[in-house]
Amino acid sequence: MKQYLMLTNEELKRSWKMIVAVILAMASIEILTVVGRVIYQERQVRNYMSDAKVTESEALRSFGKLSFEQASSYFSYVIMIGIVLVILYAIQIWYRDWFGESKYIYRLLLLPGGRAKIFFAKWTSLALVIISFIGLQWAVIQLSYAIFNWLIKNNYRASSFDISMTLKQLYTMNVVDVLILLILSLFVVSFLFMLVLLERSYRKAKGLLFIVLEVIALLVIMMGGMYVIETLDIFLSQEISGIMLAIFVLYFAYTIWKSLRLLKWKISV
Amino acid sequence: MLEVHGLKKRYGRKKPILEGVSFSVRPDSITCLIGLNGEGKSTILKAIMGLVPVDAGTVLVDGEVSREKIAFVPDLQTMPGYMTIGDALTYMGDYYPDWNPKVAEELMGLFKLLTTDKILELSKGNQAKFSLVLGFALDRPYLLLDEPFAGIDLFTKEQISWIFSSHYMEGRGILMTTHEIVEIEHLIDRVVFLQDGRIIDEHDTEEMREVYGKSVQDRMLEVYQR
Repeated sequence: MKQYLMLTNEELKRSWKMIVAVILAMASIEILTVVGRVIYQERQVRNYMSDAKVTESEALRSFGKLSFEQASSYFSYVIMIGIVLVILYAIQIWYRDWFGESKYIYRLLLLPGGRAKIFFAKWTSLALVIISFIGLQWAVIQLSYAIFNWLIKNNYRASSFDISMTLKQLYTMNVVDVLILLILSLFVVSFLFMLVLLERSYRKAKGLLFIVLEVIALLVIMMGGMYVIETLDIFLSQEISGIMLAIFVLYFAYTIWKSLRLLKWKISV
Repeated sequence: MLEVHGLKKRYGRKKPILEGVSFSVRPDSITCLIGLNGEGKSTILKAIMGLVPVDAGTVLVDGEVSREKIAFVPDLQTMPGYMTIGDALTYMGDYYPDWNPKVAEELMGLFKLLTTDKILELSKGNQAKFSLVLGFALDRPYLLLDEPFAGIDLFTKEQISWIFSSHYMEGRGILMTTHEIVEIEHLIDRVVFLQDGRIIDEHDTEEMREVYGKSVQDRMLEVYQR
């Protein structure tokens, strides 16, 4: 347990500069886009007023008022970039031990005790990064909303906006939804870890073949399961949810079991 | 005794790299694996440590399947790049219950290494010395060394060779791979010659000198020129 915690700390120590830089960049971009959108809206209205010689309320009627949903419309792109970066980090966290400045993988695999701690330390690092990412989004949305209200003139603000609507679109506030999002993210991380370990175990064509087979197996399980359930039409909706959940839990456990076996028996430096 | 029995390894459909390699390393002795490049010397060391999977074969340490009695010094740097020597020594102390900080400190002094130096900024020779510190400061009866003299100058080679005749060797069984036979020939107790993934010859060096009147290098030239 102590070694697992130390390794998790080690993993985060190796990445913290990159993680903080990405988090700061994402937060800055999101806040700046809200500020920019408000300023742009006001400038557009002012220009229209002087060009068309109309009053402010007439200009606003033509242009429309600005809601927080509109001002934060770029958030979804930033979130997409964040998701891609997390996926890249899930891959890089393994490969850096083979292709970094040193071959740290030798040291990791030679540590006393089992190798499962290596997997779980990396997995926990990813979990913490994902939780930080989700927390950041929540904080940035709150902060952007406050900045939006402080910056925009009352008569420029669309009265229909609702923070909970915006948050729902961009990012759920519900605790259960957040947990589901987190578990799904960790499943994706486990699946990616398994693919990386397959490649690191079998290498080249054989490694690629196993990766393709695992991806096909996942698609068959997902689509096949849904097709069978819909075709048979004998299950109640609650039973369908139960079956889907059981398949998900089993497959999730399989990805971890497979990764641990690869680490123990097949991995190569 | 470190015993290697019938190691077999093949990469894909290529020619097998190891074809049933068996040998043993006695405690308190130095065994040298000799072979041309690509003959599988490093693969044997990695296989012993479980760093590459093998197709067949077993490794026993004093009759048990356990790697925790073996320390391994590969021919490359294995600590994260951002660490200083001091960080790496702390790391070893944190993770290895059999880490001996006293030996580490003594060897650091003898090799004139500073804890404040960044590992990746060390010269090739100092990196090799530091790797030896990491290996010898583990209280383990067997030590594997992969090319400990590769790419370093003559003076550093002499400094490193010294350790093999020092009291840090007491009770240890060493298995090393090297091309630099001349520098350490007088220290080796046993040689194992590898070719095409097989052991083609092995000798106690003392016996080889007395019975055949040949040095390890003479025998090596003979073996690989036939």
